[in-house]
Order: sequence, then structure tokens, then C-alpha cells
Amino acid sequence: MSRNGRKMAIFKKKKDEQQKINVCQGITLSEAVQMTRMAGYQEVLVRGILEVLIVFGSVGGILSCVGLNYHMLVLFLADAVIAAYFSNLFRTGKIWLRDIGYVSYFIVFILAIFLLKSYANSGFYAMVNEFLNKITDYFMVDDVKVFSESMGNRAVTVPIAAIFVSSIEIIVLNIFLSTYMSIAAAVLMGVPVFILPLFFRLEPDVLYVILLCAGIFGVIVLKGSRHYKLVFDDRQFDTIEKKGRLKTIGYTQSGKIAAQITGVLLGIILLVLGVVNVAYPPDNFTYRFKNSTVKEKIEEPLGNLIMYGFEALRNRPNTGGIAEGQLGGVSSVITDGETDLELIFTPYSTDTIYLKAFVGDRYSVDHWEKDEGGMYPLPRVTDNNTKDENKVAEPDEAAGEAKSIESGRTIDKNGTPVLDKTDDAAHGKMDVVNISANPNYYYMPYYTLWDSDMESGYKNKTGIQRGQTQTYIYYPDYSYEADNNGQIKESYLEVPEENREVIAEFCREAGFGGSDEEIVQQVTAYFEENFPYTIHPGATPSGEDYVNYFLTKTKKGLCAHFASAATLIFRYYGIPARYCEGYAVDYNGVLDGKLFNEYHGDKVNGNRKEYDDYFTGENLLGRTDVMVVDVTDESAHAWVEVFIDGKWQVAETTPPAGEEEEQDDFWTRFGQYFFGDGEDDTQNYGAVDTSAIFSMENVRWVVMILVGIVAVAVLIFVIKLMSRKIKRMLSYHTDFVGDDVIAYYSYMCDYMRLARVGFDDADTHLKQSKLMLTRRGERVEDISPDRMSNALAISETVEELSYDNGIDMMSESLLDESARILDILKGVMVFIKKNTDKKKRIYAFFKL
Amino acid sequence: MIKIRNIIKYIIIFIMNLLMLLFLHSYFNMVILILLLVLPAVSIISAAVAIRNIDIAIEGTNEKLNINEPFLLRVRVTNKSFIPVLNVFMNVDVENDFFMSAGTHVLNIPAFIKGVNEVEYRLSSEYIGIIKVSIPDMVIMDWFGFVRLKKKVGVSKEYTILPDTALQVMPDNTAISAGMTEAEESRKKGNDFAEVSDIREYIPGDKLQNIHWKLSAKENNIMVKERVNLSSDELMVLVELTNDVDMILNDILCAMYGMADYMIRQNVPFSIYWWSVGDQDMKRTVIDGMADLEETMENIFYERYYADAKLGTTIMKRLMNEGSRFMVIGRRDAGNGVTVFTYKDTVEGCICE
Repeated sequence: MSRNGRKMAIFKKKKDEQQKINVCQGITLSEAVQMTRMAGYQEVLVRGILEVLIVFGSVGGILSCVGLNYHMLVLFLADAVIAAYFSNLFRTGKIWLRDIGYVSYFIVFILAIFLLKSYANSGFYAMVNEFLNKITDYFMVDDVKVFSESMGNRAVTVPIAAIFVSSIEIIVLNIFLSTYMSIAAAVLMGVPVFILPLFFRLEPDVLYVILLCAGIFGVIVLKGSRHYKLVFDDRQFDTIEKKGRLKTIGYTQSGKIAAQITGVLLGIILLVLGVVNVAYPPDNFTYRFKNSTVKEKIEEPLGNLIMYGFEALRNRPNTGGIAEGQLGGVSSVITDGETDLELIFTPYSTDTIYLKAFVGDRYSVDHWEKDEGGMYPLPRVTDNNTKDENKVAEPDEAAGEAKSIESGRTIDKNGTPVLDKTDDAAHGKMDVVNISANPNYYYMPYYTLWDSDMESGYKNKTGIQRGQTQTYIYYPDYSYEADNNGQIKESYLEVPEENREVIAEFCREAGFGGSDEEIVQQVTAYFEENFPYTIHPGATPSGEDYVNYFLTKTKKGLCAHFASAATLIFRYYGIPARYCEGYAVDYNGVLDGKLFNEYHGDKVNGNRKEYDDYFTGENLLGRTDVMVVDVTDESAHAWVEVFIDGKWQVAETTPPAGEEEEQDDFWTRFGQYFFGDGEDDTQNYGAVDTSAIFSMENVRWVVMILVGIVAVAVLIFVIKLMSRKIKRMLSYHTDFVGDDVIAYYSYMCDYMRLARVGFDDADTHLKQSKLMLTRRGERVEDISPDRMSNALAISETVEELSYDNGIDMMSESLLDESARILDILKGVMVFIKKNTDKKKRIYAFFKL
Repeated sequence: MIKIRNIIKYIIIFIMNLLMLLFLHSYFNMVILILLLVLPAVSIISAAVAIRNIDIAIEGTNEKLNINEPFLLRVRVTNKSFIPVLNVFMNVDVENDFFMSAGTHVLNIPAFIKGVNEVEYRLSSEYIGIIKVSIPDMVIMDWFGFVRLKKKVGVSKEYTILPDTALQVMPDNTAISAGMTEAEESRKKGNDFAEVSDIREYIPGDKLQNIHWKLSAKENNIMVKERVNLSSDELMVLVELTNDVDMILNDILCAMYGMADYMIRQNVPFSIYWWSVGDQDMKRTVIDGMADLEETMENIFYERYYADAKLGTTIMKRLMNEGSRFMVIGRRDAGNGVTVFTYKDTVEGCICE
């Protein structure tokens, strides 16, 4: 702005003074310049049109990306009405009117949310579900859990949800377009929302691209023309003076030309994109380039993030879901959907396959101690003919002495079938490949032959290393284990003192009783009826007992809660029980597997695997192909083993998922993600091996990009700040001291406006100067005489300089006085800063 | 600067989209990239087409105007094309050549599709003279503000500013009487306006008003006054076209105008003399009415002023016979003769001998 232009801004000349502008010596522009123009409302309406183009283009585009083009005309009309409403709020320039407008809309918005919550939720869920559906298609993975749409009519719910989103976008965009015609706001509102869909090759319909581009390019053009500022009086032109002479008469804005240019741009873009679309249709668009390295790096974690939530980021690298008995640190289940184990076997039953890894015997507050002795239930194997060769059966030898033969099968003294190699007992082979599971454990199906090496591996935490394969021989129908020559270890019946009372009360209220089997069934049924399963149980507060808190406070939980509590409950009733962790693969999971010979055929050069290599004996499912089943950490599980009828059996006490998530609507999840669930995850996660669970190794690209974005944003901010300060500094270091005084005084006025309330009311230089020289809390009338004299000197000099017709007309005496005043002003600035609140000083520092 | 800023912003958007395209390989970013490449070209071509179809005209009153009387300047931009132009920049020169006062400002307005855009602004002049408003050329900016195209326009409009007719110059009649010759007095009374060069005896045919009655009575013979017409039977008014930093020439001419108006109303024929610096000649115009006066003023407006406050007087005296009298309107402190009137304490009319 010119010197005099700046003067007008600083000193707020009176209206009549502003109207007289010298064109040249003796010729004056006497009245406001008038131009052919449209009515005032049309000028704000053009902004509304741009907002509709951008917002409808982006929201409609997103919906088209995921294939949800429901009643877009309704959305368009709603956007148009909302945009017209908000753009008109800026028509008069009256702040109070604007405030009333916003408050009114806010009330309507809240009411609408209240009344249409179900529709809006369902609409959002429809969008999310469709998006997730597309993502899973992209990754060619199974469907992930979707949100339940309570209102099924997407033709209604989707537009309602979209209108809510659009209205928020329009409100924000309207502010930036009406005040700054901000290109950045237009781009940020319109384009980034497409990044995720585009990442997964979900392209918007070309119609929305046209509208969006017309809006953004319209903003670019209007911003570039510099004729976008809304004026609230009838002023059609801005005049700029230089040294007292008229320099420029520029029109402020014109709704007519803005409408024309927007229309023309829309037409051109329509034409260009129409031609492109015909000549090079999206369907024929081939991705000529390889995926960028960055995209390849972040594709998987990003996919996991979207499909499985934020937890997927925190849970990498995969730990196999094994908590190793550590409890209470889980606020939400952490899954990444990646394969932990690969099983190669022949299916033999529709029952769930349990792959046991960790066994806990002693419980204490927030963890299970690893059971070093009990370990795995084994099939009892005897071979009367080659007893010496069958070393693996060694643990059973003591018990074997009591065995007897019944009905052609070997049974022990308790009547438990005992495997005899001479039997044709069904048994199979299972190859377990550790892809990314915890390498400290073996993952063995029930009931696996295991040897001393595996026993020592279990004790020393050296299980299947990643990338390695362990082959097990398992006997699904047989089990036997006896400790201490048939005596159960005491620890399997141990209930800590601090839990006993709670469990006793719980059991009394529940009314459990009967045989061991009945108690197991009752506990399982009770949990299923009264304790919902949830993947968001909330972390156990520090110092609280995990089981007690579950049974008395949260009364909902995940598998570890149910398994831990059930273990102690069973023990309370004298049933030997122990806590187990591992993977549970249900029959559906098996069916989702692939046929080995098809899946691995190429890789093994025709090395086929046949049924007979993997199973011997009676198979309930018949002769099936050898399967390859991927086990993800979603299959990680905790369960109970109870010793009933002389054998360890799996007791599944965890209710099935599906009926939980009573508060799991969009708003709740939204609040949890962004505002937390009121529980301290960090503290509780600290109880486990964070280095293993929270390693960010695989998400470093995501983090690096985020950090990069933040760094760039900070850098831009610093550069802008510095450039602003340098520009300001240069403004009062010119060759003309008069200009310096004016510029420095301008800086001081700007500072005072930010630092002191009421400075804007000072309409004369003297009042301004007095306020500048007033201490914090001091009244203007009370300033000392010396400060008063300074205020007078400043105001007089500034007054003289402000209304001088040019620096070249300044007298020598005025120049000398200006130099003196400039020094005084700098001293006053120090004084102002000293008497300004620290927060305001910081604010002013960043603002100016 | 604006142009560079626009280009930089556009390049940033272009780079961002390019990076997105390289990252995502999406059709969406590809078509935006095409638009980002095509639209600037369309914008520049459109500007080139539009500028050929834009005409500019200046309109305003042809009436004579008075000092400080607002006059309308209408700039009309006609766009015959279907291309809207957001920024038509016109250099508007406003000058008063007589006072060597000139200023240029830029007028920036849009040009509507197939339409006319008119801008009206009211100017007023403190000084008399011919105000010439001209638009020598115009510049239009393309939509994105990347390029500026220039075109010669060459339209202009002149406004004549005269002193206010209501200007009050009140001559001192006593001073005029004291300073005027008998002839002037008699002329003022409706007689011939000439110098008496000789007295002779009456010859039939002589005008009765030339009879010197007093002398005839004394000589007992009818004597008549013989007149030599040195000043073409009129009052000579010399206006000094002298000027200073305070623009005193404006006041001199205003005073002259007021005095002339007074004399016209008083039915006193007179001529206005001024020294033309350009032609190096003493110019004279007989004033028989307001039309002559206005024409004279317009002629004066094309002259150049000079600094010497008594240049015209000196030359006039040189041209006149000894003892000839004329009225000088000039600086008050020039000390030319008997003051007839004063104006604004800086200008006076006086009888110079």
C-alpha cells in the first residue's frame, strides 16, 4: 500500500477527507467513482456458487468413489441453500448479524443431529462400510468388521450424512472465501479428501471433478485478479494515493464479472474434461508407472489402519497376539489383520483348532505366571514292541504302568484312552510356519507329540523362529497328562486370597453348582448371558486386580478377561484349571484357506502334498486336500484348560462376539479416537514389553511423512513469519526519516491493537500516543508529565507527517524532529512491550 | 510483483498435483494436470482475443465549466467478445496544460461479456484552463494474472474551466475616474473614446459632442476638439500572464474575468491585451460581450505563462505612445500604477501610464 494509503488505514481519516483526492495539482476527484454493477446480494452469491462447486464436487466425488451416488440432487440443493445462507451472512458486514446467523444455524444443526442421529449414523456407516469394502477388494482380503447400519435405506441416510459433512465444509470455506478468497482453503477443502480413495484406485465421477475444478480455478482466478474483497458500504472502488496524488482507481469487486468468469471456466473445464474423458476414458487409464516406493512402503500399514483402525499402527510388528500372561494393559484389542502363522494340514474336524502357546498357572493381580512344568497336554503314546525307541513317550512311562487294555484300545487306570502305535488311531501332521508370530513359543494343536527339545524351547522361550516351519504329529482324539505321578499340581487349584472373596460372592450370586462339567457349562452360559464380549474393554486401572475389576466393575471384556476369571472360578470349585494363550482357528477360517497344491504348486516345482502325507486314520471330513490356512492375529485367543475326567480339556468360556459394542456408534467412536475414552492406555501398556508390541518399525514411513508434513508446515510458518518481520523492519529503515516514523508508528499501532483492549477507540494521534505511554493498569489521565510531553511531541509530528503532501515537501526542521521522534518511538515501543501481558506479547510476536 | 506471485502460487499447485499424480497415479490428478496446463494457455489466448474486441471511449459535457464545479468523466469500456476480462487497466492522463499541471492514474475495471461497462467519476478543478483527460493506452490481464497485453487507445476529452461568473470584482470608481482620461470618462458617459489632439474652428459636419463649449464661449467662435484615436476607441486592458508557486495567474485571470464581466455589464467596450511568449507578440482581442470574453479566455489558455510580473506592462508601454494609458491586471506588488481594484490581496487592476 502506498504511503498515503497506509495513512488512511492507520489514522482513519474522516469520510469527507477521504473523498477529496488530488488527481493532479488543482484537479480533485470529488465523489465516489461509480460503475455498472449488479445488486449487492449477487456478489456474495458468487461466493456461494464457488462454495457449492467445491464442496459438492468433493463430497459428491467421494461418494462416487465408493459407489454411493444416492440422490445427489438433494445434496446439491441442500448445499446450494446452505451456501446461499452463509455467504449472505457476509453481505452486510454486520458482525452481530453474522453471529446471530451462525448461532441460529448451530441450533438447527444440533436439532437436526438430535432428530436424525440414526439416519446420519447410518449414512456415515454406509460410507465407511462401502469404503472398507472397496479397500478389502483392493487388498483382496476378507471383509473386515463393518458398522451396523440401523437405518437400511441408503437413499435417505447417505444424503443426510453428506449434508451434515457438507454444511461444516461450507461454513469453514465460506469464511475463507469471503474474507481472503483463500486458494489454500479451497484446495484443502476440495482435494485432500480424495487422497485416500485415490490411493486405493477409487476414482470419482468426472462430473464431480468438473465441478470441483471449476470451483477451485474460479477461486484461483478471482484471487489472482485481486477483486474479491467484500465491501460493506456502497464503495465500488478503492483508490490508492501516492504522495498526495491519485495513483490507482481499482474496482473492489463485481459480482457480474465473477459470475461470468466462473461460468466461462465451468464451460471450458467441461469442454476440456469432456474431450479428455472421451479420448482417454478412466476405464482405459492404465497406470503407466510403477507404484512409487513411498506408496509401496505405506500401502500395507495404511490399509491396515483403515481396515483395522488405529490399533493396527500400534501393534506392529506383529507379536502374534500373545500377551504372555500380561493382563490389564489392553484398552482395545490390537489387530493388524496380517498373517501370523501359516498352517499346512488336512482338516479333520469342524471343531475349532486351538494352537496352544502360553500356559499360565499362578495368577497375581495383573498377570499369569508361566507354567514351567505343566506345559502341554500330550497324547499318551505307548509302543509295547519298540518301547525303547519311543523316547517321546517318556513322560508317560510312569503312568503307563497302570494301563490296561479295554475293547481293543489301550486305556490307563482312569479309563483315558492311551495311544498305542499299534492302534490305528487317527493322527495327522501339521506344518506350522511362523510368519510374524511371537517366536518364543510353539503353536501346537491338541494333542501333539512333543519332545524334550521342544520342552526346553518352551522353557527358554525359543519356539518357532520367524520364517521357520515346525512339523507336529498330533492326535486329535487322545489326551493324557498327569503330574506328579497322577497328582495335579497345587498351583492349578490356587486362587489368590485377594480374589477369593470376590469370586465367592460372584459364584454365590450366579448360583453355580453341580458336577465339574456342569459348573463349566454354567460359567460359560452365565458369561454369555451377562458379560458381553468387547474388543474395547478399557484398560484396568493401575493397582486394581484384573479379574476382580472385570467381575465387579466393567463386566465386559475380551477373551483374556473371561479365561482368567473362569480359571479362578473353576479352581474355586476345586476343578484344576489353567490359563492358556495361543490361536483359535474356527472351521470358517479353515474353509477360507487355500489348497496347498494350487497355492504352492509353482513355488515347489510340482512338489505336491497328498492327503496320505498328512493324515492317517478315520477322518470325519473324509479325504480332503492338504490346506494352507493363514492365521492372523485376529485369531489370537485365550482360553481355559480344565482337568476333568483325568484329562486336560479345553473350556471355551469367552462369549461369541457380535452382540457387544452397545455404544459403538459413529459419534462414540469418533469421540474415543479423538478425545480418548478416559482411560490411560499408555500407563497400562507400559506393563508389557512395549518394545515388542509398539515397535514402529513398519510404520516409520507413515510417521516420517507425518513428521515431514509437520516440518514443512512449521518451516512455511517460520518463513512467513520471518519475511513479515523483515518486511516490517525494512519499512522503517528507508532513506526518508518521515516514512520511517510513519511506518514505525504504524507498527506500534498494530501492536497496540493486539496488546491493549480499547486501542481501536482512540481516534486521534494524541489519544493513541497517550495510550502507548500508559503503564499496565494505569489510567490515561494519570500518566506523568514527561510521558505526556512525549505523547504530545509524537502526536504532533506524526500528525504533520501524515497529512504532508509528500516527503519531498518536508522542511528541514520537520526532518530533524522526525529523527528525534523516531528515537523516542523506539523507546516507547520498549515501554509498551514491558507493560504488555506475556501471553499477548507472544501472540503479537507471531501475529505481526 | 502480482504477476510473479500469481505464477508462483500456480506453480505450487501444479507441483502439488504433479507429486500427487506421481504418488497415486490417479486419473483424477491426471485430468487436473491437463487442466493446469491447458487453462493458462486458454487464458492467455483469450486475453489476446479479448483485447482486440475491447473499445474505450471517454464522454463528458461540452459545456463551459466554472472553477470547482464538478464535472462528469465517463469512461466506457465496450467488450464485443464473449470473453470476460477481470482487469482492464487504463492509464488516465489528466492535465491542465496552461498551468503545467498533469497527473496520471490507473483506472482498473472489468470488461463484461458482450457488454458495456461505464465508470463515472466527478472531477473538479480549482484552476481555470482546459482540462484534458486522455487515455493513451490500455493493458489487460489474463484470467490467471500471468500476462499483460497492451493496446493503444488514444481517446481524449477536453473540459474548459472558466472563472465563476459570480466572481465579485468591485472596482473603485473613484480610482477609475481619477485614473481614466477625459476621453475615457466621456466614453464612459457614452461619448467617443479618444484623445484630444487639437482645438480648431468648427467645420460643418463636425459632431456636436466635439464642440468645446467653454472655449467657444471664450473665443466667441465655435471651437471643436480634434481627436486622435490612439486606442481604437476602447479601453485597453492588459493582463499579465505571470505565475508563481502560488498559482497567482489563476487569480489574475479570475480578476480579469471579473473585471471584464463588470465592464461588459457596464457597457464599456474594451480590448484585452496579453503578451504571447510563444508568438513573441502582443495579442489583442476586442471584447463586445461574454462570448468574446470566453473565446479570449480559451485563447489565453493555450499561452505559456512567464515569471516576470511586469513583462507585459513593459512591452505594452514600449508599444504605446507617450502618455497613453491602459489598465493592467497583475500582481499587486508589481506597482504598475493607480489601483482600480484588488482581488484576494494578491492581484490588482491599475491604470498604467
